[in-house]
Amino acid sequence: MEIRSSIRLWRPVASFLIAVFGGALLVMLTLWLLYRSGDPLVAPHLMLTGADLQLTAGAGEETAEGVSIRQPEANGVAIVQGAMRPLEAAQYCRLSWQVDGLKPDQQVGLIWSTADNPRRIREQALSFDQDGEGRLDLHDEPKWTGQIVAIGLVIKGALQEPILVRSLTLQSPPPTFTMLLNALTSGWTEADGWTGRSINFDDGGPRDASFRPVVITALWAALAGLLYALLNPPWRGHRSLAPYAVILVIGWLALDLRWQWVLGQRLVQTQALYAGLDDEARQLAGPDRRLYPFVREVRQRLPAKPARIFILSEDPNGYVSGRARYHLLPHNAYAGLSVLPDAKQAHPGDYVLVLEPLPGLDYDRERHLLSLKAVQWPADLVYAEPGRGALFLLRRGF
Amino acid sequence: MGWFGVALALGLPWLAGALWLRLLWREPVAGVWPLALGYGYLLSLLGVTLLLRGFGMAGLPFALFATLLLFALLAAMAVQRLRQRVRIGTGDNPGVFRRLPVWQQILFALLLLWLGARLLGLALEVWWEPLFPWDAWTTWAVRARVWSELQQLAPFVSAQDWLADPGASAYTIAASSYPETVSLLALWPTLGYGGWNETAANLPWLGCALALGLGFYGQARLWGASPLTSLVLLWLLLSLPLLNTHVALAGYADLWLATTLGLALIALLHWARDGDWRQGLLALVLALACPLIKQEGLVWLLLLLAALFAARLSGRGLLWLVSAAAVILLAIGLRGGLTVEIPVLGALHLAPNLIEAPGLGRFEFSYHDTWEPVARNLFVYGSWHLFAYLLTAAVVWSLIETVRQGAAPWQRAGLTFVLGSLLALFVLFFLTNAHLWAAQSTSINRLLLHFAPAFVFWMLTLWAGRDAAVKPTAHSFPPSADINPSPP
Repeated sequence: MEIRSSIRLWRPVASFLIAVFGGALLVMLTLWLLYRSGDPLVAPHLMLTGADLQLTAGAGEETAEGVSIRQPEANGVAIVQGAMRPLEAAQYCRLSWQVDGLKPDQQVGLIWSTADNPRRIREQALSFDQDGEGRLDLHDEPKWTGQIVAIGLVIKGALQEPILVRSLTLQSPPPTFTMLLNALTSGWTEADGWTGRSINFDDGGPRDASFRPVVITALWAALAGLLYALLNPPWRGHRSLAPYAVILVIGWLALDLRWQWVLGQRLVQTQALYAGLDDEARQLAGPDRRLYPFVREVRQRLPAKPARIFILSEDPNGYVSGRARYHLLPHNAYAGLSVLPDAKQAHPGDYVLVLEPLPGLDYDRERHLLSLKAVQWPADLVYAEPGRGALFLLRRGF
Repeated sequence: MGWFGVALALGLPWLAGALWLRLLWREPVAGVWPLALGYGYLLSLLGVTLLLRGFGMAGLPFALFATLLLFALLAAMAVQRLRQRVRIGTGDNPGVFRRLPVWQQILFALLLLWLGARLLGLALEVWWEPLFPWDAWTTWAVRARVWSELQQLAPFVSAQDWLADPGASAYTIAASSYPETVSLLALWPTLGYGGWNETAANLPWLGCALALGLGFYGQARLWGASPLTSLVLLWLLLSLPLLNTHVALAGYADLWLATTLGLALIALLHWARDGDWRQGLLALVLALACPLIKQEGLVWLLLLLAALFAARLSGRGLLWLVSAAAVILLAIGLRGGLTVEIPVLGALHLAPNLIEAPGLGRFEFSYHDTWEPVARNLFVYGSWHLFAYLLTAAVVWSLIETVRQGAAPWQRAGLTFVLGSLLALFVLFFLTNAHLWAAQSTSINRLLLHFAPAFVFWMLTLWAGRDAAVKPTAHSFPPSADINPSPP
């Protein structure tokens, strides 16, 4: 009887623990199977076709089917480069390609460069079958290492007929347990700082992470819940939601632990940059450290009463013009122009702040005439800083 | 006055608001002090913005000292009235916690520490980080800074109007039609500081998060949830990464709208369940404040109205209302559209493929396949932890339970609000040009943030309601030994 009551007491706990750890094992198994299948959803996979390919040496056309090369450069070389984000060589070492129209006397090679020396082009000769397809495992290639920042194909030899570079594909190798564990944990152990996107969303891991922490945790919670339900079927009277709630809380806590660590990293960066500084010093320490000294000089040459200022730039809705406008407050500035205001929009006594570069802007120092495209304004140059910009005071009359 | 002035500017209204709210509850019920502190902060600061608008409309300078004196007097009057009451305790006295099992006490303490650490980290970010997010330094803080430096509410117009009138003193921002409340909230503490200061301007956001937490916890305890359940759900809310980000990178309006809308819905649910006029008053005031924070607050106000109807109408009445709405929409569709002139606001155009509302903009309807970006933002990215999964499960479970067992008025109100909100978001991101906001991961999460506090409290009511033994403790009194007789 005592044994039975002990079993009754510990059974829920035991089944809960089985569900929790069993769920973790099932997650690993599911992901291993997915990873092994090469499913692009989880297995690292880079396929460059059509618009992803660019002809950087030689004559030809970029089409939806690929890059058509009509003739190489004078040195007999044609290069097709792929548009890609940097990737880890170890994760993408199975190469395959397809090029139509290759002849036996032509040579094809893979070219790439790495993050540690982007200017150095490395090359590996490729062989191909009669269909122009080929495969290569770069796992044992000693130069295929580190972070790959550029990749392409080089075709050498004269072309009697155009060739079509259809695709270049990099895939992950068959996963080992260590690779799977690394892929699983990499999403949890990388943190970036505050960015302009942070206010809209949080990535929740590296962009190219195979396994996002939220997805993995949700999968674990679902599998653990399912296991618990199988061990304690609701239709047999096990109706309590508490175990499922605890599973959810554990998963949430795991994600929150990671998030707290990310916040901690960001706080350290914030502290290093700004702790102990006043408003002005923070501007000099932050992203505006190059812009702010210039705007401060401009402010010192403006009247005490808020002036009306037209801020001209090549990118009127961009960051620099917007920040310049903010730092000039409470002066009454408008940053939405890339042309001079006309006579109805401005009047003498207004200022024009030009942020370089602004092509076409001209100032005649002798005639005190500011002009841009068809618009001219008599104006005095108040302040100028080469490479940054200039402040002008609009004068009366032509 | 520096930081002392900032402390007065934020602290005095908070104190006055909290004390006067506390006066509304004669009985020392569980959660009433956190409720008073949470709602008191929000209501008092919203009241400050109304005062500042009044100064502006009357052409008066900002009367900082007069305003502080007013709140100090209000606080003193409240203290005086409270002292005349029976001993003001709270249902959450130490005895309540001592009666909890040890493991719950430990868990409660750990969770409280965790939340405290989180808020401390966010507070340091607010303290150190300069004004960071885009809309803050292009819109919300621009107005605040101009008003702070000019010591008056200078008008803001569109760029077109600004360019067309060179002689005017008006300023311009891209979103000149946005409500002024959030800019006024940033302005107020800088008046206490004595000049523009970005940290001072951002501090109200930290207070907003604290107020949300206190108000949520207090209302959860009032609902009848245990201290641990209330704190766990509060942790689920305050641990949301996007919510944390909106505190750390202060300056956007979304946190304020989330707090206002959330606390409004929570009060509405209380009123729907208990008929408590105090909760009804809180719901009404905060609901009316939503459009003053962001333009979409007007649409969210309509969702609260729908929840109100769902609570008050049932069976035939509800069916009549839904049928009438369907007939009206069908008539508009057959007619080819309808234009209604709303006094002061402007024209409202309704057509089968178009809605154009004053202040909200023009939305043309056509289907956009936005499932992938929506799923990515809600279920894959890290903005929400497991919130989207939990919400999905909660909605399904609630629908099943409603079909099986029917729904009490407050349950109808809650479910109507949740389904109405999800429907509104669906229409926005799948049927209008706003689908780009989802594809680009810009506004989609910020709009969902508006509903997060309301949704989490609604989930708390589901959890608390599943156990029939949980009774509301609105009228639970402390042991009689704690009650002193009122003075003769």
